[in-house]
Amino acid sequence: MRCAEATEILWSAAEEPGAELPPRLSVHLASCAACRATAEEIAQVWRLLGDFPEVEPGPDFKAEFYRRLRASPAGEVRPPGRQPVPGWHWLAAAATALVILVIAGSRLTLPPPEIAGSATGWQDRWDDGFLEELERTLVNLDAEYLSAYDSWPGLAAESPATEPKSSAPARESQSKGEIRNEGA
Amino acid sequence: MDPVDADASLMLSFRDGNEAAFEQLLDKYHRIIVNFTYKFVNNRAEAEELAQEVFLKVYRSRERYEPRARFAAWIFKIATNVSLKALRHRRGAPPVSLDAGPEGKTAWRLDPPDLRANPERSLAKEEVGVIVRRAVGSLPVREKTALLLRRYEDLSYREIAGIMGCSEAAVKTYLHRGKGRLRRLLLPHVKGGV
Repeated sequence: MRCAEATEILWSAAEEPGAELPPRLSVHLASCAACRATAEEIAQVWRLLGDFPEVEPGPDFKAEFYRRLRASPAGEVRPPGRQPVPGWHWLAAAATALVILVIAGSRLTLPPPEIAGSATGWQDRWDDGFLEELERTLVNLDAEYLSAYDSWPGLAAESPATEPKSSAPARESQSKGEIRNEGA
Repeated sequence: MDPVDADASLMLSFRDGNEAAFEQLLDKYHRIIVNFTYKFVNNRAEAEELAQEVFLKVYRSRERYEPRARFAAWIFKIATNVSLKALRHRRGAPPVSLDAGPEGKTAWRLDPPDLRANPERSLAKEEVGVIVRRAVGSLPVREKTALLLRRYEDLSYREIAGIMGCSEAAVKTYLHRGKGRLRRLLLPHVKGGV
């Protein structure tokens, strides 16, 4: 065995302390003082790497994480223990859109409720603001979903089976179109 | 999937709506991921920011999670990409961080004592840490990445190859080169009596 080969094996062996050395390496070390010294150096260097300073996360790490999660555009956060329906945000968005359609549709036939101290225009502005906010939420959900998907490591090498479901985006875009029409 | 990969089971449970499962993963991995990102950026505050980003990605990717590998390999893939992205944004910044250190002490010394001049003196643990941190920090990115994943996170060559998007042979090459550099950097301190 040549010393260069021995060195390479010694480095691999250092990654698994306590493991048995290959017999031919042991034979080589028995007769090569230089490689015995190299073996000791390699072992020490590998051990030394274990002294890389460690840091302790702050005590508020988890709290900060959940704060960021709530503040993110997707914004979904559920307390531990609850069991939501999978794909809930798509269902929630569709349900919200349906409710808005029902409310908006009912406004065509029913007189607007009287609000003490304000004209009907106040109610119209509230509805428009709500619709605009819903529009932004849906757009942001879509962008967040696609952003996470596009940035998925190695996604380009994956099979088409990992493509996102097509039904939810179609339903969402249909809802958006209806909301736009209603809000126009 | 490894049948004993409890973390993957937790992630699957989270995918199916169990938030408590995610919290268990967060409890288990947050210190690990903070220290992993810290080895890239050498700044505790930034390391925590990056770790937050990693867990946000984990949280938001739950519905598409498929246990094709160990959970640890998957989360380290995310952490590696987040860390490398942060390093790319830092290009042009000074290579040595003068942050106050993890315990809020004064800035690390840039020039640890030369033990060849005074071989009887043994290094304090903090000084050793500085030396190791500088040595690892000086490695080229690919060699550093392979080394961090192998030495500190104990991932297999195959898992590292999956994370780095290269072959196992390439991983071994990066590791071999990185270890050679580290040996040259650290050997004087080893011989000086650590």
